[in-house]
Amino acid sequence: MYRSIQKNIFEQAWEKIIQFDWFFFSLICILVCIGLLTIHTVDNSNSNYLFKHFVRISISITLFLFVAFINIKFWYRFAYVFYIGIVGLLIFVEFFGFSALGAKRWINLYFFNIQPSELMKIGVILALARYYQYIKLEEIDNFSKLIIPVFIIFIPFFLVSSQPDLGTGLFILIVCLGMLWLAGLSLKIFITGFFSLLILMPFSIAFLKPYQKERILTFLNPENDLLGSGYHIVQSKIAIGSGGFWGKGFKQGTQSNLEFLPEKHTDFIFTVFSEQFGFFGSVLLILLFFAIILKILNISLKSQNNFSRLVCFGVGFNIFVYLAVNLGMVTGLLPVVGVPLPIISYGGTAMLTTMFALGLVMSAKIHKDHNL
Amino acid sequence: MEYFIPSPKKGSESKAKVISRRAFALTSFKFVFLAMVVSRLFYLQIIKRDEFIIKADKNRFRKWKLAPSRGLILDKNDNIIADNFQVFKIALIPNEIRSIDNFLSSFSKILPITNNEISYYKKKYKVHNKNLPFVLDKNLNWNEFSRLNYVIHNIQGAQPFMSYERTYMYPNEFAHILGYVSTPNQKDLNQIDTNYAGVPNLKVGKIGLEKNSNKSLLGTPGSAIYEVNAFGKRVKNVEKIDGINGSRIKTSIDKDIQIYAYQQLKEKSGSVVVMNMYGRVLCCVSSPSYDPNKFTYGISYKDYDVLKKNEKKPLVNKAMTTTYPPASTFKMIVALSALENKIITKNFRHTCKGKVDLYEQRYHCWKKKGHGRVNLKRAIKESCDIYFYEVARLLGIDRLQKTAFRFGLGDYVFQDFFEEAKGLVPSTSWKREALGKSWYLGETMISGIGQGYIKTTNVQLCKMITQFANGGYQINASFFDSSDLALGKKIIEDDEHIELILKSLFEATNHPGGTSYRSRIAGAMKLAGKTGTAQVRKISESQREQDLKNKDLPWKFRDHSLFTGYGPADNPKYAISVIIEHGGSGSAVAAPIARNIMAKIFEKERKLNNV
Repeated sequence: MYRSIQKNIFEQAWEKIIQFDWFFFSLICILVCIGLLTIHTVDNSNSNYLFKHFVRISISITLFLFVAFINIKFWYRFAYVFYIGIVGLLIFVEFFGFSALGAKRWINLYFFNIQPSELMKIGVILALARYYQYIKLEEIDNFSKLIIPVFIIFIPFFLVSSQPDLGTGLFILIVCLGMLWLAGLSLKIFITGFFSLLILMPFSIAFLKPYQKERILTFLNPENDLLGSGYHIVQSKIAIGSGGFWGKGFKQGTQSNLEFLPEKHTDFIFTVFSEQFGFFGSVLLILLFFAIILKILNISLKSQNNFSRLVCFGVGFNIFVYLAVNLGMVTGLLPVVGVPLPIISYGGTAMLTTMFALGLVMSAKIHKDHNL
Repeated sequence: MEYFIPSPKKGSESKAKVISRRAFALTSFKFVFLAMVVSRLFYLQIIKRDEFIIKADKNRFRKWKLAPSRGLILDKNDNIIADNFQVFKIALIPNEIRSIDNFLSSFSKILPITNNEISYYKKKYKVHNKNLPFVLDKNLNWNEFSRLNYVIHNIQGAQPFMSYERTYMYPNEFAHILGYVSTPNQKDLNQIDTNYAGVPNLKVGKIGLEKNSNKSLLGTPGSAIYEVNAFGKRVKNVEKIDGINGSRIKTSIDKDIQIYAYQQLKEKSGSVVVMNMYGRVLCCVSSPSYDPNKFTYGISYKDYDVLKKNEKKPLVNKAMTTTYPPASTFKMIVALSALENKIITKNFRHTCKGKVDLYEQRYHCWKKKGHGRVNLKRAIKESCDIYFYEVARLLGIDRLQKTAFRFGLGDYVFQDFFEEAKGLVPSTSWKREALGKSWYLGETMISGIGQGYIKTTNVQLCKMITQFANGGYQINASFFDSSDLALGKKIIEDDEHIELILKSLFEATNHPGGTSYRSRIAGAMKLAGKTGTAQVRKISESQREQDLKNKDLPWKFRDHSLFTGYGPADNPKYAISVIIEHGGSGSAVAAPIARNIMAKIFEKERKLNNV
């Protein structure tokens, strides 16, 4: 009787492998391959992006598998520790990080430059999910129960914004708001918050750095400054538009081949893809992303506990925000903020973070029947 | 809405359900966004596709126009008189650069340029037509050019190119007839085809034959389309269309005669025109002259000022632009008109006493003592003014005008020479219309000796004497060599009249007592012609008493010296007309020059026949 309950390690592992969601994993792999393919088209002999990207993908997928097979209980227990650890890294970055482009964002780990603000996106998801696990629905709107989430949200927000990296700061804020909404905070609080934000808006503009103001102005009228910041948006629109329905063909993208596209391997990777594969390919790619998001929704609905559920929703929302901001930017719907396309874009920390987050989702799927 | 807003207070719903419902709400929001992005892509990639394809092509293709080589100009013996040489230069495309300062400072890093040059370019760029590439006046050698070509993509809007520059082999001798080329202004551009726009270092003819034949000399510009990357570096050649070089133009001018004539005019202000009997111009020189090569790159203000201020007006083509009273060279027309209108017979005689008083005015002959009783032949030979006063008085100005018009006076000699002047042959109706006054008979009299309102250009006089010498046939004067030689219609009524006049001209040069007897040419080939001395001021009676010599007067009050003639006298082949501004009497200055030039032509002719 006892033996049958206390399963040995092989039986445990086998159970996990059976629970492993191969459909979800293959969706991720397809996107990873599309990323590799697109990076390949913008690669040249000097940059060697493809190889570096491949190495990062290998590390990220290993991380994904590692996280996936760790029991979700572990993440529940260490959620606050994880969060506080990253807050510590953010403070560390403030003093010891090295700066680039006027912002202190990176920690040099010798083999790898890590961006704690990226990891924070997971940190807040875990911390908020942990916090709302046992808050009763009746108490959720109580003022006393709002104090801790406010701290969880605003400590990283201010730390990241003061780097200065307002984009990522706002990103974290949006993900947190999504979490609060999912946790069941009543609409009244959101509406009050929204209006107080609207009132605060004019004052906050005074705190913006000149380059941030310029970006907003450029977004409002990109054609004004063709060779300055507006250049990015204009060239991106030209590349996407000239792709047409079927695209210019693999490796035939003139805008990217001839260097008219800026940041083509990172933030504007979608443009590169869209120029080559047209409307058809672009819609297919977006649908793949939505398939992943829907799969995450599906996993979260099947979860047995609210922590898993909230984590999964949070991760899904996080990926959606990435996708939305990136696509909005490259198609000229939103201002230029440096947000990569998840899974596809070249870039270390974002890739790791995304795969880590997806690993959490997979973990929730594998351990859905486990109690916390 | 109720579905998405849980009412937890009721306690009827589990937290899990709330989370799930809200997740659905969020997911539907995500789908709204999906629809937005897809429709945005639809708008960009399907609706606006063509527009963006054009923009993408504009990004990557650069079209560079290639200047064709300007057509050569040859003389009648195929000697090149206007040539081209190859140059390597840099142009900047005004719409591709941020500012001229920016461009020059980055340019100076590659090729050193002095501060002087920089300020010169800036000044020049300010007034530059921004639709045209701005060419730096800097000829590069091949080394510099190839080095520049290698790094030029670092400089936005720079275009190195190979082009041709006009050069004149005999700049001073041919300055006025060939004219010069220079950078086109907007008016020049409007006159030529639109595909010349954007051709770097395009030069158009500004005056002379260069302007007259600009269209055929220009050729057709070629073009090259390159694919460039975002930094302007050429990635590959897409298309290259070779231009068509300008067609060469063979003129009827004889280089040797032109040079010789120019030497004859040294230190003098005047012009020489030589035509053959069909109106092909053999030589057309104006003096003093200038160096048209300087205009190719844009002449400096200082140099231009010197030319402009010279009182002998080197920039003006005195053979075509300046008009002069024809003076005694007009007497042939008067004689012919009177004969044809049967006012006089060829035996008409009149007595010259040196002066005559008519209409309350005294008219003088150049010979104070008078010629005595003269007939037509002697009147022409000795250029008796009193005789022609009388003939003109009997003839009347209107009939005289008709004959003068028939011989091409008062009208353009060449087609499309914008610097050519029309001159003026007066009539009673002209005076009424132009000046609003009625004609005085006294004015008819001075018109009889080619003075007064009448103004002709040297080329008109040359055409006139050619038409006398060829037996009274109209000619179509031109600078272009062509084998198609034909005389026009006959413009005289009676050959006898022409014969009489030609005989008189022959005697004027070859018989003692003739006005140009001292300028005769010995040998088989003889010169025949008529001198003229044009007054440029009114001589008062008191001045006449003083008998002022020409050389005592200030230069600009001296008489113009003219000679129109032809040769060989027995078989006319060439006609010549010489005008020396303020040179003095026709027999003393213009006639010897005409003699020298004709002698040179005869000498050439003899050599040609012997061989």
